This record gives sequence, structure tokens and C-alpha cells, in this order.
Amino acid sequence: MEATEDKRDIRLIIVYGVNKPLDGVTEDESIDAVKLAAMKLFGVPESEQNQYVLKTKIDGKDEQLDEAKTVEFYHLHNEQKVTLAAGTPFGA
Amino acid sequence: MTEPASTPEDESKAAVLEQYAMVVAQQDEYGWEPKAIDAGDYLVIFVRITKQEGRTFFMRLRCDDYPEVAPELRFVDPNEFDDPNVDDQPAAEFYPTGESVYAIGQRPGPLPVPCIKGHRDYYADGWHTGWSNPPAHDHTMYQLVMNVRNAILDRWS
Repeated sequence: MEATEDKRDIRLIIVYGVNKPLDGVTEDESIDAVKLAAMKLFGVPESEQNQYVLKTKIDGKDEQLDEAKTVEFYHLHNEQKVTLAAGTPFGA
Repeated sequence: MTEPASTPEDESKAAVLEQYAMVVAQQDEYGWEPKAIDAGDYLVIFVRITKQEGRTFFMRLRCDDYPEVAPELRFVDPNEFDDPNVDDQPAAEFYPTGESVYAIGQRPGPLPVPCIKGHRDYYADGWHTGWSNPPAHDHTMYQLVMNVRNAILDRWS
């Protein structure tokens, strides 16, 4: 019997000044795709994607999420808060 | 009866309060402690940020003419948190140190200067570009508070 994949949709709470839910996030979705969806949620132009990162609390500590990895890799769960933050706030 | 015209100062305060409300809304999430003071023509925002097992910082953002002009960032005595005053004097000893914080003498003025986007000195004398009215998402006052908080936790001491 073939194993069936059970990829659940989850809702993440994107924090960017105010909290907004991001529905329909799949476990195999890349962090990069989640970031773009989060930016869209707050009206941040896609052209600014290099200026933003996603962070979340892992074991009580802020961690920046690697955009090449997936939602599943970080065990992001339903209703987890994920922060949309400026990635390069420092000047040259 | 006509509504009284809103003044530029009123409009500036409204823009600041919009940003301040976002800072307040996230205080439980990020552990910062914000306060606002009406200085008459403008608002002054204070935010206390404590580094885990480290120093406590108390940032002061003078928001005169915001968003035409970026807020002035200074670090003042964190012991003033209970009763902050617009005249609280910044001093080098209250500033964070570390990467992207220019020490006295490296930039104009008598205080250290954090090289972080969103505050007045960052754009002064053409040091950096990027300030606009309205500010781009990553230059807003809320993002400045977030960026300073992240820098204090991750980079500065």
C-alpha cells in the first residue's frame, strides 16, 4: 500500500506592526514563498523582498528563517507568530 | 459650523501616533516598553529595551515634523523610565556599542551615532539616502524601533 502524504494547511500570524493571519500555508512551502506572501499581506512591494527577512521564536529565542528551507523544517505550527522584519537595516 | 483646520503639527502627531500604536501593540511580543510624551508642537517617544543578562537601553525619538523629517534618535538614562522628560540629556555612556555604532569623533556631533536606517542622523549631510515622505516600509518609526531592538539583542552590547 502506498503511503499517502498528509500535508496540512496552517495559518501563520504575521507580525509587522499589527498581526495579520496568513492562511493556507503548506508544510512543504518554502520560507521564501511565505515571505513574499507575508509582504503582500502588508502591501510591501515584491521588489523590496531583499530588504526583508522572516523571524520567529525558536526555543524562546529570535531566529532568522533560512529562505531556502521549508515550513516543515522549522516545525512552524498553526497560529505561530512570524515577524516580518528589515533584513539589512545597517548602512554601508 | 466648520471643522477647525488641522495644523501641520496635528498631522505630524497623527502620523507618529499611528506608528506608536504599532509599537505599543507589539510590546508583549518583543518585550520593549514604550511611552509617549506630548511636547506641545511634537511628540517624543521613549522605548526601553533590556538585553537579556545585559544592559538596559532607553531610546528617545523626537518626532518633530515627522514624517517630513526622520525622528531624532538619542539614548538617555534608563533610570528615567518612570518619569521621562523631553529634556532628559543623552550621553555616550547610555549608548550601545558594537558593530555599526560610530564612536564620538567618527561622525559629526558630540554623541555616538548608530548607523541604522530610520533616524535623522542616518540621513544627515547625505550620509545615506532613502528617507521619503511617507517613509518606505523599511524606514518607518516602527521599523526603527524593531531594528534597534534586534541590534541590541543580536549585535550590540
